[in-house]
Amino acid sequence: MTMTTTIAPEKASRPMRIGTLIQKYSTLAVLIILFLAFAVGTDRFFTGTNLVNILQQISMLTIVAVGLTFGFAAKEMDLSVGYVVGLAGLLAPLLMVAGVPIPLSIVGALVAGLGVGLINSALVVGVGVPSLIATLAAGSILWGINFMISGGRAIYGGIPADYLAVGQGKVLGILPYPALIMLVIVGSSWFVMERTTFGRYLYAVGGNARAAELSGIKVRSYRVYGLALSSLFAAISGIILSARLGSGQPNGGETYLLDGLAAVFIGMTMLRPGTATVMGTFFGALLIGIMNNGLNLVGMDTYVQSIVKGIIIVIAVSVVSRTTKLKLL
Amino acid sequence: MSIVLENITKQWPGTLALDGVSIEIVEGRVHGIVGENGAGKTTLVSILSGAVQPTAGTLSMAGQPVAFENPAAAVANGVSLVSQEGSLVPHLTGAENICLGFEPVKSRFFINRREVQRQAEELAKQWFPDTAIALNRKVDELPYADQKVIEILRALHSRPKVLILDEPTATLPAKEKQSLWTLIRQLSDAGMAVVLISHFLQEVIDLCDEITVLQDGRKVSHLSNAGHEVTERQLIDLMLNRGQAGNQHRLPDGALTERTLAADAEIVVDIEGWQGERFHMDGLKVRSGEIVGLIGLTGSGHFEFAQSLFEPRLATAGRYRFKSKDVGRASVRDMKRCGAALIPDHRMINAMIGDWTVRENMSMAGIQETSLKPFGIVQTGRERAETQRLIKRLNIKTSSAETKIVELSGGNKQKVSVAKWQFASEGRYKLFVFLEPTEGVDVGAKREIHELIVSLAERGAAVIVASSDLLEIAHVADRVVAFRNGRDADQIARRDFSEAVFINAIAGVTQ
Repeated sequence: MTMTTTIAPEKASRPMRIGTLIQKYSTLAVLIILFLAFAVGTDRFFTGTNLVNILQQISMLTIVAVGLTFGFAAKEMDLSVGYVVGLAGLLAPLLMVAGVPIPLSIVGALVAGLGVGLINSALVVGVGVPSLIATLAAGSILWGINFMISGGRAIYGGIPADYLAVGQGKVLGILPYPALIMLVIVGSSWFVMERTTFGRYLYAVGGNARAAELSGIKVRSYRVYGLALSSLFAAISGIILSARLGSGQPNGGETYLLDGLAAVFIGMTMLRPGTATVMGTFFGALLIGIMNNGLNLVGMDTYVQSIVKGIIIVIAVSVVSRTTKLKLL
Repeated sequence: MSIVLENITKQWPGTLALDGVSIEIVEGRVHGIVGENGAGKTTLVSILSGAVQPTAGTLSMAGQPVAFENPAAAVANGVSLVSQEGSLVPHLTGAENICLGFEPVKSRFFINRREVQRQAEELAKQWFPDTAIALNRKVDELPYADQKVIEILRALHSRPKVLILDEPTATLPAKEKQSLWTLIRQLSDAGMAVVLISHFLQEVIDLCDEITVLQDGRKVSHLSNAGHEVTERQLIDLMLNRGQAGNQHRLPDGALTERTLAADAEIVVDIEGWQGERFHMDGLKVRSGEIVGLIGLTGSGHFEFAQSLFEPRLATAGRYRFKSKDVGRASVRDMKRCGAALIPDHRMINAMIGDWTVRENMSMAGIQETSLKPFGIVQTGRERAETQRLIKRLNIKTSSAETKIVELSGGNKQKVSVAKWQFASEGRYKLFVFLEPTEGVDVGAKREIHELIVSLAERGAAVIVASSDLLEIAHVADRVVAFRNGRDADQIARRDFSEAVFINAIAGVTQ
């Protein structure tokens, strides 16, 4: 719809509007400030290679976080994603080492991820266990399974080079495949969430399940979709991880849970405050990526990075909680 | 000691909840407060217990003016509330609940369990010497009536002068009510000033020494009931009869114009022996183009019945045919697909998503109609255009379609709730069920919503309206079914409509 924009008359509630404006864009401002600070502060930050590098570094995190966003939209939290990353990242190499063709191995890993999501949703939607608890337990079980199937060792040797290209190759020698996959996933997820009835219904279920039900929306199904997609995306991320590392690690994906949640929370402060959106999550992951990358270049220790990250999460969630009713359970 | 409320007024944004209400609560007496939903009982209780501050008016105790800034201040001044919703910690014992927050300690840190038990027993013995309550058992193992007694004892722990009981028997099974009534009498006999809020009118008549009747935020009557001479009929009359309250929107008695229905109008709803946990409907047929009003006192089952027409799973037995097809225990989704729509009460809880815009709320039930199949790609342009059309058609006052729904007034929110079922689906729905269609809606929008209801019927839908506003029912309905004690009790044709007839039907007085 193209129409000439008319300037809305001044409203009495103008100060509040400025408040929401600040809230909406403060995260973006932090992102830009960080970016500029690193660009000015170190000469190795603002270079083509490093920027591509950042995209590459955040690709797996972003995919996990976008998966979490589907769950969040339906008000379900998935704490098992980190271990699903690990599971898929082990299964694909294991299958290939056992002689299964590459495409089938990838499908196998994805199916396993999806399976975890379905088991989670059977517990949450079928039995009525809160998702926070069901997925926490699932994570613990998966952690054990990951060590069991790998014997506690990394899986390497005998992984086909074509598979490794998924994680290490570049399109036209510039854009790494993981970054490309991430951009495609972010783009298509954005479209599904913002431009299809599927996304609308998912948000409706998270926004007010009773109203959604009385509007004829299949509430239970959408809760299942949210949790299933969250696991599926974690599995995609796990496959990229193992291809990039050239091995399957039994504890490979553990950091993605916390960083993924952080990306979602940071994203919830912008665009539609209080709501998890795909673009918000992407910016959240970008913020974390830029911060990690920049702090690395400045030479800051990883444990300090962890502290800084924690502080940023607290600030982000505080901003959201003050103005909206952030309910996660 | 008595507490006197003088000219208490409470203005909420958009509604006047209490309008110059004066009440005197005296020690040693049980003061009943009755009124229909929205009469102001809850606001009154909140003001008495310090949860809400009045906009105007004064409270005084023993001749001294008092102000309760918060519930703690009310308790400190000797006013305790036993709220309707259970406030007990289920896994603690009765005694522990009674002393919760005031536990006697030993060695400064440890709860003195023996002393807790002793204090609780002493309190129980002081007030209810003839009643044995297991104070040493976890409260969730006790019968509901005992739980209520423990809640009362907990309120008595702060040694109040005034005790407010908000719907104390609402959650009790019939058998357990009797014992609680005895205890309430014992309290007032011992000198306590008791305020009793209840919608069980016979209970109020049996227990109370005086009764205040509220209607639309005003005190319409104060009755002395020392000899229990007040009748249920008298109370219902006062609660419902807006004519007597000087309301200019009086229902014209008799001789109402009847809308003519086509003789061959399709039967949309056909019910036989339809019953659920709290309603029973022997039989009802609603034709296309007809508006049936459902009336009854709070809790008499008419709302539950109306809801079950859209959510058949709420029923446990009986037969329901929708457009000649047996629906069995169909889901909401199936009912929607067959052509049934519900405009629920408590719209922000049941119909709206507060974070969403007018457009998003309006398209919630019909967005698939304006989307590209098979993937359901939302066609933003069509969605906006359809929203604009409905905003204009239903005269919804909003600065734009992108305004958040919470910024709209009650009446405009309600219009959005109706528009939801017309979004790209005009004429598709053959049954509209309205629950309290003008709850929290101002007078002007009220009339528009009534016109909307009538226009739905005129365009061929069957309409069912359950409302506690009798004037509203009289304006829109072609005929009325009155519910009593969970059952359909009377049918009234439009030509017989009058306030007296409605109230007789609700109260169960045959003419």
